[in-house]
Amino acid sequence: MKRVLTILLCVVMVLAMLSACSPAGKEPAEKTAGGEKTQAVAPTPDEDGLIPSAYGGVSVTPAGELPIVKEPVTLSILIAQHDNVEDYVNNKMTLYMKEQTGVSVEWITVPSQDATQRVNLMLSTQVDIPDVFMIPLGMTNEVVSDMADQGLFLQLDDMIAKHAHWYAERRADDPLIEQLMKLPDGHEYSLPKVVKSDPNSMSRRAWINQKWLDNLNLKMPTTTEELVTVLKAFKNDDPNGNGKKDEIAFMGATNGWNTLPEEFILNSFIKYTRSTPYYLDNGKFEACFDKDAYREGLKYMNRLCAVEGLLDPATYTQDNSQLQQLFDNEEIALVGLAPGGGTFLWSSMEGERVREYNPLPPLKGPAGVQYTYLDPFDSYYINEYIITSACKNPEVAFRFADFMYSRDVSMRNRLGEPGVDYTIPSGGEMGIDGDPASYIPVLAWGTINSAHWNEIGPTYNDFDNNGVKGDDPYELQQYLWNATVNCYAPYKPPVEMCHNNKMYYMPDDARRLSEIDTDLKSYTRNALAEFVTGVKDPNDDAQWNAYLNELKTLGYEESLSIVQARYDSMK
Amino acid sequence: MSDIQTVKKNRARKPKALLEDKLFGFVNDGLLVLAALIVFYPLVYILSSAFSSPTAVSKGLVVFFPVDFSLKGFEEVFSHKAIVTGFANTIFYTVVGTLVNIILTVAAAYPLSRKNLPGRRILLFIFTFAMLFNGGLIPSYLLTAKLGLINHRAVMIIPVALNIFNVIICRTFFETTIPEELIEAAQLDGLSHTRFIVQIAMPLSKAIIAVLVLYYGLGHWNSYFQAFLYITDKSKFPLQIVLRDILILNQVNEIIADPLLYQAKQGMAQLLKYSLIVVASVPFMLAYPFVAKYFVKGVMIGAIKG
Amino acid sequence: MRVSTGNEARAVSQKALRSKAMRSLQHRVKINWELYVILAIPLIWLLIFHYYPMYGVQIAFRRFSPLKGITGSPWVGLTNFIKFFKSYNFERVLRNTLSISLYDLVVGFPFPVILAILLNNCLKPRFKKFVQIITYMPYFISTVVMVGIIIQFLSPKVGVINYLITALGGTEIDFMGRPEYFRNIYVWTNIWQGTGWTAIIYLSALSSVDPGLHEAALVDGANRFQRMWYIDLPSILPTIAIMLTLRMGNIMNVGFEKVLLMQNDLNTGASEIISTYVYKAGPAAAAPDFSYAAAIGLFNSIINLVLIMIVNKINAKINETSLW
Repeated sequence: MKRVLTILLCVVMVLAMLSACSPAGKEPAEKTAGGEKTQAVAPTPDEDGLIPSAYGGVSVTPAGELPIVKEPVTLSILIAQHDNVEDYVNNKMTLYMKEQTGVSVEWITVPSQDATQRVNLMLSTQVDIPDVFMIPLGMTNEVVSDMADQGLFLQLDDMIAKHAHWYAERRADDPLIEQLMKLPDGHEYSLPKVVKSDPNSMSRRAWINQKWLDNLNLKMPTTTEELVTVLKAFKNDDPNGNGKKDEIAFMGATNGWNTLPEEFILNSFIKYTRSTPYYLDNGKFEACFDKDAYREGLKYMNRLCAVEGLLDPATYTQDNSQLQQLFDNEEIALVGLAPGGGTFLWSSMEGERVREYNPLPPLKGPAGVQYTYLDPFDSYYINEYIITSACKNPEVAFRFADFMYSRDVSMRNRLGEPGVDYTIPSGGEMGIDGDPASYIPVLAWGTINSAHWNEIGPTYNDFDNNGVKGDDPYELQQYLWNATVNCYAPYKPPVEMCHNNKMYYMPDDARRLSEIDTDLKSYTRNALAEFVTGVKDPNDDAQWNAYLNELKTLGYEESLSIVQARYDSMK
Repeated sequence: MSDIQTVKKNRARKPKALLEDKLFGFVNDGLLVLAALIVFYPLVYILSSAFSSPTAVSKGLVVFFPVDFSLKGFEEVFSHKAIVTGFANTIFYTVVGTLVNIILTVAAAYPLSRKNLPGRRILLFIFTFAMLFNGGLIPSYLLTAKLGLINHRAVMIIPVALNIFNVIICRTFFETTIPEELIEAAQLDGLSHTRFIVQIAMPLSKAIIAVLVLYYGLGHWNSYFQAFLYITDKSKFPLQIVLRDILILNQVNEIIADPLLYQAKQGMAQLLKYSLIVVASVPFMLAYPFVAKYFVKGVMIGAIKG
Repeated sequence: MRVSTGNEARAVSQKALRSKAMRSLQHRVKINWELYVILAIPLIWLLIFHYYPMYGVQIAFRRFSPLKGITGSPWVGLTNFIKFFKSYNFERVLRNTLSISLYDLVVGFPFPVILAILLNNCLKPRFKKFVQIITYMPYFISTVVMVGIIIQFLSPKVGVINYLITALGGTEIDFMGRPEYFRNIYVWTNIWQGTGWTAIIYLSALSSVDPGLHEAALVDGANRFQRMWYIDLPSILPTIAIMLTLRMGNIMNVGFEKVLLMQNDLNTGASEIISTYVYKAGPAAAAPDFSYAAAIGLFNSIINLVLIMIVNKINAKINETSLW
């Protein structure tokens, strides 16, 4: 389904980035139980050593202690069935959690497709609400705002203050969490999942056929003009050497991972994101799509596509599978330049075809702009664990999640059982990211298993790219890491320009934004495709002005003002 | 003239009719061949793709015959243990569900097909109106919850016990093929309505029952939405839910950033689509021939004269 | 027989007729009591599962809030409807919906009938069965896969169709990227997929044609064509008429999932229909608005109802068959 949820696993340049982004700056982490906040209000246990529940539920042990409860408790958790996990009940992680915390889980599964719809219906009818919602990709902010407003989702502030241990540690290390989790009313209602991965945050990459460059004695292009020259040569000078003019200079697809070309190309003109085309200019929100710089970018792309025939227009109608068929063509390479998260999308990393290609660093545009896409907030999935008002033992539910933030459980949630599904390196082997490696995977990610929960729920993954580095530079994680660090990271835009597209809004604002966005998104994308493929001409002032007027009718200015207001209120 | 003599006399006229009929048959069957061919190629494409290797399918090498014959697609599908429970559940829902469907549909359609039933028009309108208007998801969901049907196997059978479209088709059939004279004759013989339905009308209606079995049966077989809304217990998921989950999982070329996962599923996405269709449809298609024999002309022989 | 005066006789006979009619009504109800009992079960089911939930229709006139429930949510009258009519896309989605739907109806309706007749006429049972099975097989292909195949076949560079076009000397056409092709692609693939399956209902009607009629026609020297034209066709006319009427009642319900999957950034001019728009604005939206979706659904249903009533009336006059 063409679901427009662009969720990227993202790694921020951890500390440096965070300190730049968060307004207050940062102190080095103190790895004690909880931060200053927690210690001030840590409740005193009663004579059993237990802390009574503020909700009339089961008492829990003090923060950081295991097990969580002294009597057996069951939590009902709703999840979207992930097909990689064969069995959630007889699952190593489920059993480990029970063993350590004393809490059993009653799994309520919904099919993974359209889980949002199902959950929305459940919430709208208030039938059989579970204790906890643990939906991958979370619920939408708007739903959370609404439900929080109505009291269906529990406020977590108190519990964070009184009962958090591992979560508190994470919050102390990563101030961005608190900033992201607060709703407009100043309280928190959900727990996040954090998966840090640099290659996933700067993932709008493009891949150019190095072999063709070599055959034609061309250098890797560094500016947009140089790219035109190169693409023309690709198209006309038979770089694959088979005597046929069968080369496709530049081509993308509609539904692969970042396979649409605009995110790569337009960032040479303006800081552009397809999913939420806004950026911050000195604290003021601006839209990309009404700017002259954007128009210049469209003119350039129109030149590539409609005028020179270098960018193939099928880009805007074909599936990734058609691109794959062309890229991975049996006899000989046919594609010169393709945008996407990686060449693995079209051909096996173990094959020969991918070795013909190299990552293309961002190009410098005519005005000197040379950005790569970056979203420092992408690592954070903010609605991963929600405790509902139907839960009889909220503190238990909270402590359960808190434990999942520990390094031990976070690793188990993704890798499985230590010693069996992954091993811990002993000899100081290096990790992919250059730090000492923390694991050697045995159970490959993506295999059907009953060892873990496929990394759902409250988790803090800062080890994703810290697996042991092998010898093969074409091993996928290593390959993407190197490409990102060498070719894309140097062109990060200033962090002040990056906006958080996950802000929570008041329910009415959220609804209004959603309304405007439905039409706005559809129109801007349609317009872009038409301008690029030549159906419309961006050089034509009349057409461009008609486009701008249409945007105004759609209310994008109102949309911007709502976003601006919320942003300002968070300062 | 007796019948036999009439027939003999008409036989003499045959040669002329024979030529026209032959031409007719030729054109008729020719068009059928054309229809079959047009439909044929994409089906062959799907079947061949299902039996090809993942790389062959990804590279678009399949044109007509399987390339790199392989059962990998099917292996992958059946490696998901949920498929077995999915099949079992779906067979259960289909068999029981269709049975319920047919009983209720006939119970509605037959009385409504009798032109002399007082209030018939109003009743028909009540049924037709319900086909056009519904209260939406929310009240249906609440009702299902109130009846205690959520996550209960019966939710796949009871709330979908009637399809009004099928009722109307069935009623039309009864109207046109069970004439009033037959009923009157039966009533003179002292047959009650119920016995008439069971002993006379049903045997005459094999064709429409066959249609109902097919239409309702396929409806159950393909049913996704009902389970999607109301079933939360994995062990009760029908086949379509399992298949769709497998498909989505493997369509990681959608905008979800997980390169490692994508790599793990490399190539299978394309192949799986085709293998899944084969797995999902073949069992049902095999059932068809058994039902098709009821679409034979002359089911009514002897009934009227009797 | 006693002879009475003219007026008296008339009065008596009229009274007799009326009471006869009355008795006839009572009589008819009485002799048909079993039918009412039998009908009761599905009728009760209908009342529970279809009519009871209809109270939810009022969601369209309220601003639905889950915590307040349906009846507790504030009444906003026609606001949702007006919002829909005034919405940016209203004309376009309405136009697309009707255009696609009517085209589908007009073009697609005859095919299953023709196929059924052709099959019915076929005298070779094995061949007939073979063709029958082949033609209904496409119906089993799920929408997701169907659209994937459509995109593949129509792809400019790797698709079969364009391969044929370029082989014959033409230039490749990006079918999926042109709004003007959308309707045709949608409708003709629908026909491809659905004809065989829909033909089943006509086939069953044909197989119930009284063979005695055919025998009699043979006796009169009719050839196969005449028998088809004068016996088979009229016999299934009621079925055709009813199917047509029912189709009209579905005019606003263009196949949502298929259109959604076939949409791309270039063809939305022709491919955005009411149901896909509602889906994006309603249940799948970031902030789901069930009221809005309900209002649009109600709008659809009303149009469907009006159309079905019109066609049914026409039908009743021409064919003497009617939905009610």
